[in-house]
Amino acid sequence: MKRLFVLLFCLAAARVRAQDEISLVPPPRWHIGGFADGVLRSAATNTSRHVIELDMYATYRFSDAWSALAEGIAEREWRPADADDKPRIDLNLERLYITYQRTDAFRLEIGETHTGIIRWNEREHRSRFLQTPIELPAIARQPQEDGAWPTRFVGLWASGQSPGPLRLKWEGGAGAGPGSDRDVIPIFSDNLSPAVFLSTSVAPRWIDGFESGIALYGQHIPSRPEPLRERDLTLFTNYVNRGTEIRAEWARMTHQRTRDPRTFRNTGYYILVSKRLGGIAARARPYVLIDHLDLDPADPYLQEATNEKAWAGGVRYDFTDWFSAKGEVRSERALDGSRRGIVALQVGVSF
Amino acid sequence: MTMPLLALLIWMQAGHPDTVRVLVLVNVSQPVTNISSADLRSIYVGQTTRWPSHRLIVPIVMPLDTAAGTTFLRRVIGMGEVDFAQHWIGLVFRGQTTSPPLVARSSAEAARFVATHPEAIALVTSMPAERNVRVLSVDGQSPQSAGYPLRW
Repeated sequence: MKRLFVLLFCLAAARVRAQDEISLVPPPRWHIGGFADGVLRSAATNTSRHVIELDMYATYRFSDAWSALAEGIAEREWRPADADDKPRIDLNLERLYITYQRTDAFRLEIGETHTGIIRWNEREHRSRFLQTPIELPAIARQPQEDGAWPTRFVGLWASGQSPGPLRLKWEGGAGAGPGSDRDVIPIFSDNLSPAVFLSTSVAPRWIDGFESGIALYGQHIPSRPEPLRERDLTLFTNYVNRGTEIRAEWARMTHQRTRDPRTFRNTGYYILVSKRLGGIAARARPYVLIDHLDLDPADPYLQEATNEKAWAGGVRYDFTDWFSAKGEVRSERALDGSRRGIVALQVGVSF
Repeated sequence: MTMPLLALLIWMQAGHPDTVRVLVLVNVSQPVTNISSADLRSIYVGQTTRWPSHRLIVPIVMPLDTAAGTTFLRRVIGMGEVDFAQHWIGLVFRGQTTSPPLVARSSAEAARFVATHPEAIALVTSMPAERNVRVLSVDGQSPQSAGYPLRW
């Protein structure tokens, strides 16, 4: 933990120094930023685990139309009650793509990116610093975190919005999704998983901060002993305005065997409500999260994922726009029906 | 009796600061003389990122901890200072733009930048002296008119 605080102090010092040197010059072509988070979780059932996460990203603007983005995450997790826990740092390339955009009506991304089938924190670009609660909702967890939904893929991803008062948005993608191993996206092998994605939403100009829409995802999974067809449907709505934040998603994922009609249905949803307080408490944002995931236990593709029936309540406190702390109490229902409580604390910086 | 009354009047005046007026500046090369408050919000929350000529818009704001800055954020954008800054961190992180708005230390500095950068749009609190900038009307109301929507 000492290293974490040294790291956070260095990042904060660099941030203060950078602010002193700001002057009005055109934006640079490149931008390097990141988030550093430390999370302490204490559970009464000897399942405590602590995490330090460094999420770095860089963008480069070749011209007004062409740009590129890369994001990588380094994560270290401790499980104090696990004697076999070995020190290990996980490194993941999260996104790597080139963007072409000449107008707000059309944008194209080519490379590894997020599918958009789960909208959490705006199209599943995760950052613990930017999200209000400490924990992600169960449907937004990535496969390497035992999440169920296919949040990453490699291919073409296009989006756009209409300039009208309804501000109709659309998104579509085609490429390769996760293969028989849900952590891996095979591109140059027989294990290729062709995937398509479509989404549309409205964000009317007369309701600032509101968006509601639907997303569809289809994929062929070359799993053994029998391939599967995946069909996903997500309904989502967000309202973020004047200090109020409401985010809700309902998602259904079905896996169907290709040689017999057996279908496995998995459903999840979350509702997040938070409110920036006023007056002397304006730096505080209390929140409540309801989190639900109901998996078909016979689904052969989701054996590592687990059900979730949880609620969480907490407070986010922003000391500045780049330094925040959060405290959260989470209650989860275990497989045997009993409940366990988790207390979590997070310190995060953006730099 | 007169002194307490005078003190009360001074205290009431101090509690009600002068009117805040925010002006919108663009370079004279931009073929626009009016902007709707909805379009202005759309630019400053990163939903509109291009001029009709396809060039990237470079938004400029005044320091956000000033009366004009906080009032503009609250009334037009619907966010506080911290939420606005984090919103733009998120836009850059998600790849929707490559940089947050520039922060000008003064209206004169913002006007000088707009005069030499056709892609810029700036919010200022005083009339610019530069020739190459244009003050936009907002929702069809000029800054001198009584119904100008960016005066509070």
